[in-house]
This record gives sequence, structure tokens and C-alpha cells, in this order.
Amino acid sequence: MDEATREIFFGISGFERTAFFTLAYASLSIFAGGLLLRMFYWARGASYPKLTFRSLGNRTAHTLWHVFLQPRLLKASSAGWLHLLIFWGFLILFVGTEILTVEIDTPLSFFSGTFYLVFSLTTDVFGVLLLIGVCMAVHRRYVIRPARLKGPAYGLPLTLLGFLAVTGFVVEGLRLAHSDPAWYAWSPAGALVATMTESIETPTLAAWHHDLWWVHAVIAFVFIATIPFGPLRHAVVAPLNWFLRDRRPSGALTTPYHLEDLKSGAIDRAAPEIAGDFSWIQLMALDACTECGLCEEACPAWVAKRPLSPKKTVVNLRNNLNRWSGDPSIPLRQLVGEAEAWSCTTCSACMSVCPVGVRHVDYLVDARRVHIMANQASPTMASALETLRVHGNPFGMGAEQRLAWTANLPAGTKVDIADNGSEIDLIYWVGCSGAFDEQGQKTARAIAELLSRAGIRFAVLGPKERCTGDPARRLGEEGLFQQLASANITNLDKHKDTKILTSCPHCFNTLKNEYPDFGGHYEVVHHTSYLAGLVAEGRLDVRPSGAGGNSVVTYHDSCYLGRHNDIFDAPREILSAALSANLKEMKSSRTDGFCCGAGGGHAWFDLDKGEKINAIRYDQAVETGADTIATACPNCHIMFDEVGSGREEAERLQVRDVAEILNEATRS
Amino acid sequence: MSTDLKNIWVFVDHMESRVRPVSLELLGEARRIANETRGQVDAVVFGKCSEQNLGQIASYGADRIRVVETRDSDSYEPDIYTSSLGTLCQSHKPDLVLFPATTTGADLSARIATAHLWPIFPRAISIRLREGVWEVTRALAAGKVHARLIPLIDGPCFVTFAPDVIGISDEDPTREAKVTQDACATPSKTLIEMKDFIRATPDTIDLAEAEIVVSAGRGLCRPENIGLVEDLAAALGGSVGGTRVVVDLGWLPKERQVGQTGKTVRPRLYIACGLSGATQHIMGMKQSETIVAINTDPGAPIFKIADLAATVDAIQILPILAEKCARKVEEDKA
Amino acid sequence: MSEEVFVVLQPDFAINGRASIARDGKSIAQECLSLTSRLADQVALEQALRLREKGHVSRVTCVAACSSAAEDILTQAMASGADRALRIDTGDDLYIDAQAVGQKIANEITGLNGELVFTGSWSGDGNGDLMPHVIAAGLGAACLSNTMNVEISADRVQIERRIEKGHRQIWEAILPAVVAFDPSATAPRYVPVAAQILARRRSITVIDPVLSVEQPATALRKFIPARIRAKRVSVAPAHQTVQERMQATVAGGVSKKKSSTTLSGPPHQVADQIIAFLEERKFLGGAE
Repeated sequence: MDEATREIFFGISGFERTAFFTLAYASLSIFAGGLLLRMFYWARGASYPKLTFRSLGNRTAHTLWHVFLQPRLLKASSAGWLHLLIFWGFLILFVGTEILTVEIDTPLSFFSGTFYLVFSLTTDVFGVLLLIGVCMAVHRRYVIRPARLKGPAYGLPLTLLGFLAVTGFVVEGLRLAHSDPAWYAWSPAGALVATMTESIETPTLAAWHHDLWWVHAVIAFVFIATIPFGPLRHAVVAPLNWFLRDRRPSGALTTPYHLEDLKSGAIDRAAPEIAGDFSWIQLMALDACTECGLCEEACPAWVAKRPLSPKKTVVNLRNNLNRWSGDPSIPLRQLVGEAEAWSCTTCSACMSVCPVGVRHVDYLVDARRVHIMANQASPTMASALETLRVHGNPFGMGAEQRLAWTANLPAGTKVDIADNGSEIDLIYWVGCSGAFDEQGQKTARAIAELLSRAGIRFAVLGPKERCTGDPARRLGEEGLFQQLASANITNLDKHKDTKILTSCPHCFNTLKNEYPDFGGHYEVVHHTSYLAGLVAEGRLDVRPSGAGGNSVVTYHDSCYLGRHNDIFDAPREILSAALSANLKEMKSSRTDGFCCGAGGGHAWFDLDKGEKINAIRYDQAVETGADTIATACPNCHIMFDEVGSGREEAERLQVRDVAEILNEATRS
Repeated sequence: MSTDLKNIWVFVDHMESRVRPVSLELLGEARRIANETRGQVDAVVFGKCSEQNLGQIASYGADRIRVVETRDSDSYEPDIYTSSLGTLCQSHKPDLVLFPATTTGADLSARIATAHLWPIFPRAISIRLREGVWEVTRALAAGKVHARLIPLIDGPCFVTFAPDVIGISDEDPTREAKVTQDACATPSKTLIEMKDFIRATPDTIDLAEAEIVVSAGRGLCRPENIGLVEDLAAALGGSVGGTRVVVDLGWLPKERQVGQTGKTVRPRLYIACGLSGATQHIMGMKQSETIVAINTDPGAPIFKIADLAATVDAIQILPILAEKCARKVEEDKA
Repeated sequence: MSEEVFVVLQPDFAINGRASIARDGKSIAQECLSLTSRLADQVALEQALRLREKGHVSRVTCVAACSSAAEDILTQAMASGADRALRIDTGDDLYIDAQAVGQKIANEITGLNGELVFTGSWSGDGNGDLMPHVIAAGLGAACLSNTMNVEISADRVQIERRIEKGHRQIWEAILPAVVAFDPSATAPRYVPVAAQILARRRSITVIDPVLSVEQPATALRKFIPARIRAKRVSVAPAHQTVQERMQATVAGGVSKKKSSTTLSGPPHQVADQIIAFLEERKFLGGAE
């Protein structure tokens, strides 16, 4: 028996082969040119950040994970499977075709025997998978028409791919019918096609094969050449984005400038102002967008019918900037409107579901920064910022009132002020809500009691504490944030080596993830992690409290604790130890947690657009049948209380901080 | 200022045919000084003044009341008032003229003093004789520092006082004053034209300026019960306010929201009906002079700042209150 | 139509901690002073900026007669968006007679052909009541106080004036005019910290005023610290900044005595008690 192989370029003359390769190079040139053009657009952005070799291994692993396995897409919907089919189908076929080039152009010779048979079978199978994927995609996009897929023109690439697969099999079938090799079973799909051509005469087969081969080739060349010119460019840019993207935690916003540089005259303006102030990576990420709309679906502002769709924001920016006539000097204000920018709660659900790693929140916050500098702060926003600026806290209370919560603590609970000279293990950063808000104070007291009971030597900073600046930064008032940050860092540096405990996820996030940019490097821990640790170590004597029996508790993941900082388990551990109730998760929990609506500065101003996000989340809690909503964030707590004050369900549904629940369970 | 303040005048501001209490405070102060210097107190009133009001002005310390006739309107017309009072001061040369720092008094005093280049001390807190010199004290730096001032040029010395700085003195109903009429002097040049006067009603007044506010909270249970709050407000001549919850539920429009993200109000009377007093709401109304709170929950935070607390059901008591208030007002009128 | 609107800003001084007064009582230590612009003046500036944004005027010029220590109020004004700022130097005296200062300001504005002047109508120390009138007299202009809304047309100004009890008067005057704004008219815009820093780079023209012929009308004898329990300080109309309210409270302003009367029982009985309370405090029979 002959060794299994097939003639490459079967039925194609020498002249035709030359034409083929010429077209191939032409197609690749257009492809490359298209990509270079995109890179030219990205280069219009600011030149930071510089690329380094740091964390190369990490980035590579991350990229391989997201590009080849696409877990986010799989998690999001059944669409994940069809995309994987198309992706792997095309990838294997493409690689297969390139293998032929190696066989032809190099002295290597391997395209025979077992290799060939395996090759043949693999490419056939993946070809079929590709075809199935394309059919599923067409069905989903044009028959089912889910809302989030509205928009992009994938019609051309899908058509081309479909035809590519079909013509590929037909060409193969015709060849098999013509040459009738013994190993045809190793190309099952082709063989199937071949059986349909039994009645056709050999010369006709050859002719059809020849013509269809060229059709297939041309479709392939067109397909490849047009990749950079449509949304399919994500196939190239998405892996690039995964590899090069900013790997800052999602809770840390960008630092557009340093206030000292503005004061000293080293920089001339408080960027961002224009589109060109976006970094080149931000512009590149716009091209990675596939317009899948998963961000939109996950966005709480969109669900609450606010005028914000993260997808629309990104696509709009891309359409305006990454084009020949895109002008980097366009004021950012014209690209992202106020209503759009202020609707965001910075919950980063969009960023956590995005399959290509776009950082939507960064664009929206940059837009806010511009709007603030252009005096577009709304009255409630202006009043919140002014209060924060004058008083150092958003409540407008005097700094000396920061210790008011320590009055009338139960015996055995003592709160020291740092700088008393005594040795401490822990600094408790109370935060503004803990100090001034009635509910926040209850949480602070519970934490003080717990810490005292566990024998932890801790102290608070008292009147020296100032707002971490989180509300200012989220609202886009970067200058005020930096002012507050630098004051706090000067203070905290006196206790540089002491661990800092916070009871507010926003304080936690800012101190841990954002202060390092300004020279503040501290070990920061949130009260849930710390208390869970105490429980696990046995330093607290916990006896589950609560009604027990049929009572249900549900835990609301604060965006700033959960999604931004990956703390999901600690609060749940505390609940299971401290409460004799069933823990029932809401329909969107953990990484998919639905925002309470207070983020992005919304706790401090009124947007007055769309429905209430906190009401939507409250309904989700009610659905679980719980009698307690447990939270670990004072803002989430206030949001739920606000909804509850207008609802009958509130009589049966309490909102409690995890610390309060634990405290009750440890009272002897 | 002459060492002897013998001739002291007081500009009496009245609104809606009642003498404003601040004017009575000034009369008391003028009387005190006049008693010290054995001087005389003249009150100046523009427009129509009832017998009862004249009597009240006399009993608070005036020796003589100069009534200046104005045309028809009772409202302040700057050019006419300026030229009239200015002419009077020029001819009668009072040593000291006291004005209340109301919108009228502050404006008028400044106009006359500026026109005639006479010394003026706006928003003073006291006038005292020290070391043989009459000093006027003003509060600066939000009241942390007092500045003792003296006039440097000749002429009637104008001093204005804000309400509740001097405090009201005792009334002497037996006291009588001589009432004289003066014609108003037409100004040579009218710079300002009075175009219109828009009277505010409790419905139209901006909540931030209302004197009486009756506020509704979630404790009223149903939107129909807002009517009970409206009835009480009407009976008292006050305006309706509400908490954020009530506005979010659509029971009241946004303009009626009192609180951190609504309006900040400082009425003389704030009646809180069925509202618990969340921090954000209290921030918007805690500067009210008198707070009455009605709530079934004795632990409601609003009670911490209330002058009068009633732990009864607002829905039950409001109609009764409204009716009794209306009846009382009727009785008082009669 | 006026091309330019002049906004007159005057500094208000606040004292941090205790007032540190010199022995002779004539001055206060610089360290405890903080000079800020008055709320009503900021409101006037906001109105002027809006006027420019609507296209009624083409330039907003801020003028302040103050010492160099108070220059920051002009920087702030420029950070808000004013086109230029002029400072008339008044030396370092803390107490300056309003009638003399106002005249100086009026002279400068006349020299610049100013026809439309905005300023604040109220200030904590009372100078706000006076200043607009002095400037108007110096300009030969009409003075419109307690303005809530202003409408400018070719040669005249119409204002809505706030008086007590929520009533409004509509006044009209022909230019030149000084419009003095009530602090509750609008909220001034928020000025971002970065904008303030950038505004420091812009220059402020300093004018040494021509020696004025008029002498001051009043003079300071001495400063004395206030007793903490002052009965009441001048209370601002509705819209005060949080800072101003806080300062007023710190200065011992509004004292509140809270009674702990709690009523409960049958509605009619409680209602009677409430009525008695209201009557005693004179709330029945209409307000003041």
C-alpha cells in the first residue's frame, strides 16, 4: 500500500501556485497593514505606561488562560461553547494549512504516514466543529437575537467562515472522489461529501475541484485580509490586550497626575482633558472589544435603566478615536457625556465579565475627571465635595467628633488613641461612616468589643483620621483625593509597621490599593478577614446565636470587598460560625454580586435618573426568603436601610453587619 | 458722635400692619440710652400705622412718633424712603438713628448714610459709653472677635441691629407718645422703579423661607394621609414638607423634600408627623427654632431634638389638631 | 449691552482656635486668621459667570480691596472662571472702614468704564449691607439689594428681590447699576483643587489706589475677644455654607434649650396640650 499522503496543490499548475502565493502574501500584507494602521491609532494616546519585563510569566499564563480556554465566555452563556468551537476550529485549520507551507518550503518532509492520517482526521473533525460553531452563531445572532448582541457587523466574517468550511469540505470531497485513496476514512467529512458525487465523471470532478479550490483560497485570503478592518480584529488584539493590559486591581483607579507636579509647574494641566490623554493601552483595549455586550448585561446602572451602557461607551470611543480622522485633541467631554459618566457605580461588574479584558471603569472615571474640571458637578455633588474639602469628611462633622462612638462602651472594652506611647498590634481605621453614621457607629462598637474580648491591643487615630478620599476620587475630584491622601499618609507613616484594620471596604480598597501610588505602603486588612481569622484561631468564643430553625440569612457581597478584592469567604465563615441560620445566596452573589448602588460616590449625591439600584438588590434579597441581610460595608448597609424604610418587608427583614452578628454570638 | 446722645431716632419697620419685634427691641435700646443721657426717643414710621401699633411703639419707649405718609403701597420704595428720611434727618439732626437690619432697614440705612456721607455701623451688637466716648461694638469673624468702633465724621450716626441681638425689653403701657405727621419728600432723581410685588403664600413660598413647616414621614402609611398634614399646615398658615422616603414614594413633589439632599429649612416652627428622624433628614431641619414631633415610636431619633414630643399616632391626632388650630385662630381673630 | 461685569469680592476673616489679639488691641495675629471670600460674593460671581456663559457679557472681572494676604480669594475667583482679577491694595490693617474702601473700589471701576457691578448683599460682619451702596454712590449707579434673580437687557437691569416671609419685589433700574445678591440666590460652583492650583499661576493686577480725598467714616478703637456665650450672632438667610453655620455655632450663636416634655395618651387630650404649647409660643393667630 502506498504511504498515506496527499498531493498538496493537487490539480494546480505551477503558474497557479505562484499566483496563489502572490495572493497569499498580498492578503497577509493587507492584514499586517490593517494591524499597523490600528497600532498607529493606538500610538495617538499618551505614551505611558512603559512596557517592562516584570511579571512576564504571570502575564503569559493569564493570556494563555483567557485566550485559549475563554472561561469568562463559558461562564456567561452557552455562547461560550459556540465561540470556542469557532475559535479552535479555525485555529486548528489555520495551523494545519501552515503545516503544509512548512512541508513545501522546507527540506522537512513529514506529511505522510501516521502523521498524515492524524492530521487528516484532526482537521476534518475541527472543520466540522467550526461549521457547527458558525451555524450556532448565525442562529444565535440572527434568529434568537439576544439584546446584548445588538450592533456589530459580524455578518461578513461569519459568512466567509461558513463558506470557507463548506467549500473546504467540498473541495476535499471532490479530491477524494477523484483520487479515491484507501485511507479516505481518515477524512470522514470529506468522504461523506465524496459519496454524494458518485455519479459525476472524473474529469468533471477534477474541474470542479480546481475551480472550487480557487474559490476556497480566495475566500480565505479575503477573510484574513479583512480581519483588522472589522470587529473580528479582536482575534488579534484581545490576546495582545490580555498580555499587555494594566494589571492593577480593579478597585484601584488610575493616577492621571501628581498634585506636587501641578504645584511645582512640572506639568501644565490636570489631565485628562482630551482623548489623547488616554494611554495607548486604553486605546488598544478599545480595539479588543468584541461588542459582545456582556458588560452591558452585568452593569447595574443598565439594569436600572440609567443612561449608561459600558458597551456603548467603549464602542463609541472606538468609533470616534480609532479611525483615520480620529482626533486626539477632541475634548473628552464630547465623547463621554455627563449622564453617562455619572451613572456608573464603579462596581466593575463589566470588567469582571469582559472576555477580552477591557477596563471600562477607567474610561468613565476619566470622563468624570474632565467634567469636574469643567465645573459640571451637579449641586448635590458640589455640596458633597465642598463638605469633604472643608471638613475632611463627607458628613460635615467636626474632627473632634470622631471619638463620639467610644462613649458608653461596655465594661472591658477600651479604645486607645494611637500615639499614647503604648504598644499596639493593630490600628483600627474607623472611617467616616464608623465615626459619624449611627449604624456605622454600632458596627465600630461591635468591632471594638470583639477586639477587646480577643485581647488584641489596638488603637484608633481619632481626630487625626481624615476621609481616605475615596468619594472624591470616584467622583473625579482627583486633586481633593490626593490632598486627603497625602495628609493621611503623613499621619499613617508614623505607624508604618502596624497592621491597619478597616471596617469599610472603601477605606480598605483605597488604603491598600491606591495609597501605594503616593508612597503609602501599609498592611491593611478588612474586619471580616481579621475576625474570621480570630474565630478560626479560637481567640473568640463563639456560640451561634439567632432564632435557628427555619431562619435564613443572606449575605450581600460588597463590590469593594468582593469583586475588587476577592474577599468572599471570610464573611461567610463568620456567618456560619456565628449564626444558627441557613445561608442562602442571592441570585447574583460572589463575583457576580449585584451592586447596592452606593459606589462611585453615589452614597453622597443624587443622580435622579433611572430606577433605584438598591431597590433592585433589596428585591433579590427578599426573594431568598431571608430574615437577615448580612453586610460588611456601611454604605451597603445604608442603602438597604434606605429601601427598607419604605417597605413593609422591612418588618421581617433586618440588615446587620457581620461584626454585629459575631459580637452577639460571642457575648458570654 | 457727640458725647451726648440726646436725640435718638428709631426707624420702625412694620410688615403686614404689625410692628416687627426687632423694632421694639430697638425702641427699648433707644430708651435705655435716652434714660442715661436724659434724651428723647423719636420713632419714625412710614405708611399707615394703626392706633394699636402706635400705642405699642409708645409703650416700648418712644416719646414721639413721626408718621411719614407714603403713597398707596405699603411696601418699601427705596428712593422715596431715602429722600424722606434723609430730609428729616437733615432738618432735625438726630444724634443717633437706630435701624433694624431687616431687608428694608439695612437697605435704607445704607442708602441714606451713603448719600449724605454720615457714619454708619451695620449689624452692631451694642452701643456703650466708655471712657467718655460712645462706642459701637460689632462682631467680626463669625462672632469670635468684637471690634469697638467710633465715628470719625460729623452727622447723625446710623447703627443697625439684627433681630434678637439686643433682646426685647419691658413694655410700659402707660407711656404715651406725641404723634406727628410728616409728608414724604419726592426724590429729585428716581433710580429704581418698583415694578411688582409678589406675595408669597404658604403654597408658593420656598420651603427654605417658610416660617412654619409641617412635615410628613413614612409613618403616615398612605398617600391619602398627606391631606391631613396639608390641613394642619393650612390651619397654621404653614407650608408642607416631607422626608426623602415620602418624596421617593411619590406622595409629595421633590420641592417639598427636607433633608441633606433636599432643602435645608429653618422655620420658627417645625412639626414632624410620623417621621423617625434619619440623620439625613435631621441635617435639613435641625436649625428650626421650635420642633414638635409626633411619632408612635418613643425611640425615634427625632425626639432627641424635639422641644415637644408626642408619642401618639399622627394619623389619629392630625385631624383633631387641624380642627382645633383652625378654631383657635378664628377665636383669636375675633 | 454691557460688555463687562465687575464682581466685587471682599474678604471675610475667620479665626481658628482662640483669637490672638495684640496688646494695643489694634491687630490680630496672622497665624490664627484665615481669609475667605464671602458666600454672598461667591454667589455674585456665580451669577456673573452664568451671565457670561449665556452670552450676555463677554468678560467677568473680579475686584477686591484687600491686603496681599487675602489674594487667595481672587485666585479662587479665577479658578472658578473669572477672566481677570484686580486687587486694590489696602495695606495690612484688619479693620478698614467700608465707606472708604467702597469709594476706592468705585473709583477704580469708574476708571475702567464699568457699568454693571455684581457683589454680595450680606456678610457676617454687616459690611455686605453697606458696601454695595457705597460703590453705587461712587458710580452714580442704582443699587439693587437682596437680589435673587437678575435679568439684563440693553440698558437696564431687572431684579427679583427677596424680602421677609418669602415675598418678592421686582425692581428695575437703568444702567449703571450695582446688583447685590442674596446668598440664597444660587449655590456657587465647586472649584476643583487642581483648578485652584492652576489658577495660582495666573497673574493678579495689583493697584495702589490713588490717595483718596475722603476720610474714613469710622475707626477701630480696639479688638476684644468675644465671650463664648454670646447671645446670638447675626444669623444668615437660608443658604449658609456648612462652614458658616459651624462657625456661628462655635461662636455660641444659636442656643437651644431642649425641654423633655413627652406627651402621650388619648388623642384629644394630647391635641389640647399641643395647642396650649403652640399658643404659648404665639404660633397661633398667624406668624410674626
